[in-house]
Amino acid sequence: MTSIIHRYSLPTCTLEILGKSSPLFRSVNHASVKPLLFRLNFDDPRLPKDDHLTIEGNLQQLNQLQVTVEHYIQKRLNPLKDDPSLGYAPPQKTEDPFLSQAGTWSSKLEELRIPSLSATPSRFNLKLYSSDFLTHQLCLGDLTPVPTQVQLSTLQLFDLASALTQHTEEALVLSPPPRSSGWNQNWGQIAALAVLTLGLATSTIKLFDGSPVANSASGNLPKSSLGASSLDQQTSLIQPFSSPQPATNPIVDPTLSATAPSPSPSSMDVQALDSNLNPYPSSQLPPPMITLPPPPPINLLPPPTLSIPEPLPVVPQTTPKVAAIPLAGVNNQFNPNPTVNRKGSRKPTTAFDTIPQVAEVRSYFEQRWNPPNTLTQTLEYRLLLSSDGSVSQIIPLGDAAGAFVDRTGIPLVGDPFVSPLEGSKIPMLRLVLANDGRVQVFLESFN
Amino acid sequence: MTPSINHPTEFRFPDVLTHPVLNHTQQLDAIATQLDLILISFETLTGTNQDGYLSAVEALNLTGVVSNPIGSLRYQHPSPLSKGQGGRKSLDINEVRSLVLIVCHLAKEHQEFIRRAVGLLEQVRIQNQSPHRTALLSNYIDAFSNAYQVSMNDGNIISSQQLTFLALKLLIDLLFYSGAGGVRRLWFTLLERAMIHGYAITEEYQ
Repeated sequence: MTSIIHRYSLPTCTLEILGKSSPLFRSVNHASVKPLLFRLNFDDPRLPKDDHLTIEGNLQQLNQLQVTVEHYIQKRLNPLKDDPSLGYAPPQKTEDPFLSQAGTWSSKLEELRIPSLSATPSRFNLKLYSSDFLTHQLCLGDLTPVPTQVQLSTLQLFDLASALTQHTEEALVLSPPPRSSGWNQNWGQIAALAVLTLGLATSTIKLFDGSPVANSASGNLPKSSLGASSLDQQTSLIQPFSSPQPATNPIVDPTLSATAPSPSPSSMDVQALDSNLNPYPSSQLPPPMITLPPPPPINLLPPPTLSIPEPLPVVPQTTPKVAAIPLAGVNNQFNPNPTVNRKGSRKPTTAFDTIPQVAEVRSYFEQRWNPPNTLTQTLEYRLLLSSDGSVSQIIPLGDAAGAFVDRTGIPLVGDPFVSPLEGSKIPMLRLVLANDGRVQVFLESFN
Repeated sequence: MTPSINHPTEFRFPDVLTHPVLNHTQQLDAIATQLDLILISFETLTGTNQDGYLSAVEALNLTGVVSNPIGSLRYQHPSPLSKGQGGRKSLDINEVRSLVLIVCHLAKEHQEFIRRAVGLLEQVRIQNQSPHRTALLSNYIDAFSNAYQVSMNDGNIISSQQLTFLALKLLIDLLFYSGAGGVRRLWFTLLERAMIHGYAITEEYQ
């Protein structure tokens, strides 16, 4: 029996979350009803009823809609390159001041520094772009049987974003349903993409950061191609909105690519010692959203993207081996002692795992990482763990990492992941997923 | 009148504000400049004054975290050199985070008014009229332009058209900061601003 379990009413739209309740639990509250579908009514009372539109879809589509909308809004919010306070030349003048402002604004959208919307996953063919500085075109893609494009005013866009964000935040707060459902699988992607911008921005900021951490460990901080500002990425990554494929090989800013090459994770073998040990029964894992092909033959790894880390509080190094490790520009802290997991069984560890959770994370992904055949580069993520061992933050490093985040098997924020941490220190891990199937996990900071 | 502290309390910022490290003075100055723009827009639109900021500080339990005077530079040091380079002491990262929360809190409080202004803007746009045809938008644009000239102008000539454009963009931005997810949006915007600043430096000196 389908029923409305959540409704978000905004002035110009209404979002309803529908679920099916079991007759056995009909009297129980909504928490027992599994969300399945959404219904979105564009019911702006200022418009005639004939212009009202209702779309429906599943929760994955809702998730993608939220990601699409939020990414688009963030692009619009970013400062313009010719912002007068930046000291750039003022916009070109035209005859009609108001229209010229609109025109300038629209044209500046392409100069915004976050990689274009097309660089984000475009599943379900959802697209959002501006028609002028106050109106926006939402292509509903697979949400409607025939191609449908909705024109949204700024207020309508705001309401739509508010409804979607409210729903997301509420769903994150509520205790998630069992992992085996497809429901909560969406939230990891939302959370990850929510910080995609952050990862991009901070990676660039790091480039200009004069903090001493930049010279730590390896002593020669690699500057990856994507360590260039995201403006570089923007100008090189813009693709037509119709392109379904995320950008995978961004063009390198020549002024920055001349710097030292990024270290290749392939130079470091951190394969599991015993990959058969797996504390995570498959029944606890979310089903893969997409059936992935087997890993391709091992090739030379391309340089990791956006591998410049932001400075983190330096943890005293416990071994001189640190300096020899690629990616050691990050503040790795290593422990030569093998660790034992909470169940007492030996975990696949390396000499660099200070805490057992590092090996657990490695084991987790070694069991599950199955690179898509369209992946041509290494994906890197920064994972922040909570004290209960769940992931509290997922930061894709690079466009490809953001685009493929839903294929990595990274658990959802807040879901059980590894064993609980001892003490109050919070580890930040670097996860490197190579397109040849290899997995590397490093401890970046632990404080 | 202005909140100041000697010993920051252990205020826990939302997770979305915990990640980045921005300890380069130029980055923080760039962020301060962007915050000033946003604050000027907000103040000239809503008439919020120091009392309004202080109320937000108290409501958010930020007393003890914020040491700088709150509000745009015009409330502090109306210096022609203000532009994030001397108008006030450089913000530290916690003050930036605090201001993000304050701006979004106040924007949320004034959301209806901001929404009304954006609605008017949409209306005049549909009618292909100038925003100066409406009292609300006209007053806002004029007040913003004046405040900008006082607080932000470093001697460059900025056209009224350019200021109008900037005022309207910031107005719409405020709307999105006022809603759910506003803190994250504003935070990312500031990070972008810091990055733009960094990019300009690189472009110029490399």
